[in-house]
Amino acid sequence: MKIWIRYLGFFGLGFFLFITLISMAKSPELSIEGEWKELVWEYEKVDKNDTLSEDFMPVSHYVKEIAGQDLVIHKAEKWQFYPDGRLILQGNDYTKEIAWTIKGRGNILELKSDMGIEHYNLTELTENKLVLNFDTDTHTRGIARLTFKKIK
Amino acid sequence: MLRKYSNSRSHADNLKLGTLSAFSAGMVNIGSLLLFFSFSSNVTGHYAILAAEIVKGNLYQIAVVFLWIFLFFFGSFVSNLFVIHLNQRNSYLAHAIPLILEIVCLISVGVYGEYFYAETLAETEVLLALMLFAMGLQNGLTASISNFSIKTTHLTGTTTDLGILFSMFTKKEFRNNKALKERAFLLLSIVSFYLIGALAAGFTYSLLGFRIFYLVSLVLVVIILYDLSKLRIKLFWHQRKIVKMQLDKVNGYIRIEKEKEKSMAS
Repeated sequence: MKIWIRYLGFFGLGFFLFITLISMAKSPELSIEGEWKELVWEYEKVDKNDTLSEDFMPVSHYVKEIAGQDLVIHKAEKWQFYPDGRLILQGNDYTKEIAWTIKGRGNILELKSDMGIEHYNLTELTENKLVLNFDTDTHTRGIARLTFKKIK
Repeated sequence: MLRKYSNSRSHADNLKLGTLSAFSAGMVNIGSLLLFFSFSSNVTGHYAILAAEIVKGNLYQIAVVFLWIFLFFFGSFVSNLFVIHLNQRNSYLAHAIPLILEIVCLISVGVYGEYFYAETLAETEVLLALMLFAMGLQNGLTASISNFSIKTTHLTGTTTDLGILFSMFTKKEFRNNKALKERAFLLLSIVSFYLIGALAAGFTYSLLGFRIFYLVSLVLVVIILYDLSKLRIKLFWHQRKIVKMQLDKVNGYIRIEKEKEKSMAS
C-alpha cells in the first residue's frame, strides 16, 4: 500500500472518530436550555448531603446566604435558560434578566449582569440534573456546590 | 535563528529562537485561558481531561478534547513535513512556512474574536482548535530544527531537564562543562520567557482582549524577519565582494595594458 494512502487513512480515521462522537453528543448549550429549580446549596467537602432530606434545608439556606451573598444568583430559585443567551432568574418577589454563555470545552458557565461577570463550573449536566461548582471567597470551607432539577 | 538546521545550529541560534517562541507560547496559552477558559498549549493536561471525560461519559467533551489533541499533533506533523521536504531547496523558506501558518491562525483568531465572536460554544471550540493547531506548528518547528533541544509550548520536559542538569552540576566535572552550562542557560531562558509572555498576556488582557494575538504575531514576524534581514545583509556583502573582485580584476587588466603601452612606447 502506498504511504500516502496509509497517512490519508490515519487522518481520515481521526476525522471520522471526531464526526461520529460529535454527532452522537448533545451540545451543553442545548442541554442547559429550559427551566431549572434549585434543589440544594452545599460546600463540596463538608455539609455533604446525599439524601436531599428536609433536615438539610436549613443548612442549604445557610450556605446560600453565606456563599452566594455577593452573587447575582443569590435570590434566585428558578433559572430559565433561553436559546438567545438570556437567563431569567426568579425568586420570591424577585426577577432578573441576565446573559449566559458556555465556555471552555463546555465546562464553564459564564453569567453577565450589571453586577459583573461570574463563572461557574458545569460539573454535571444531564437531562434532569445540573450541578454547578464555584470558588467562594470564604476559602475556609472550600468550593460551593449548587444542584438543580429540570422542571421544563 | 531559522536558517540553520539540527547540529549546525549554534547556542545563540537556539537561544534566540527558544526565548522568542517561548514568549509567544506563554502569551497564547494564558490568552486562551483568560478568553476561552481552556489552555491551548499544554497537551498533557488535555490528555488527562480526555481520560476524565471518558470516565464521565461526556461525549461532547470527549469529541472536543480529542479534536484539540489531534490538531496539536497535526500541527506538529505539518510543520515537520515542510522542514524535511523543503529543507534541501530552501531551508529558510522551509522553516518560515510553519511560522507563517501560525501567524495566519493567530491573526484569524484575533480578527474573528474582535469583530465576529458571539460567544457561542461552537465558536469557542473552533477558535481554541485553531490555537492548538498553531501551537502544534510552533512546537513541531522548534523541536524539529533544533534537533529536539527546544520545545517551547509546554514546560514539563524543560523543567525535568533543568532538574537533571542542576543535579549534574553538583559534580565539578559537569559544572565545568561548557555545553551543559549553555544547555541550562537555554532552558532557564525558555522558562523565563514563557513566564514573561504569560504575565504580559495576563496584565494586558483586559486592555487588549483579542488583540493579544496581534502582539504574538508581531513577535513571530520578528523571528521571520530577523533571518530575512540577515540573509539580505549577507547577500549585500556577497554582491559587494563580487563587484569589488570584478573591479579589482578590471583595474588589474587596465594596469597591465597601461604597462604594456608604456613598455611599447619606450
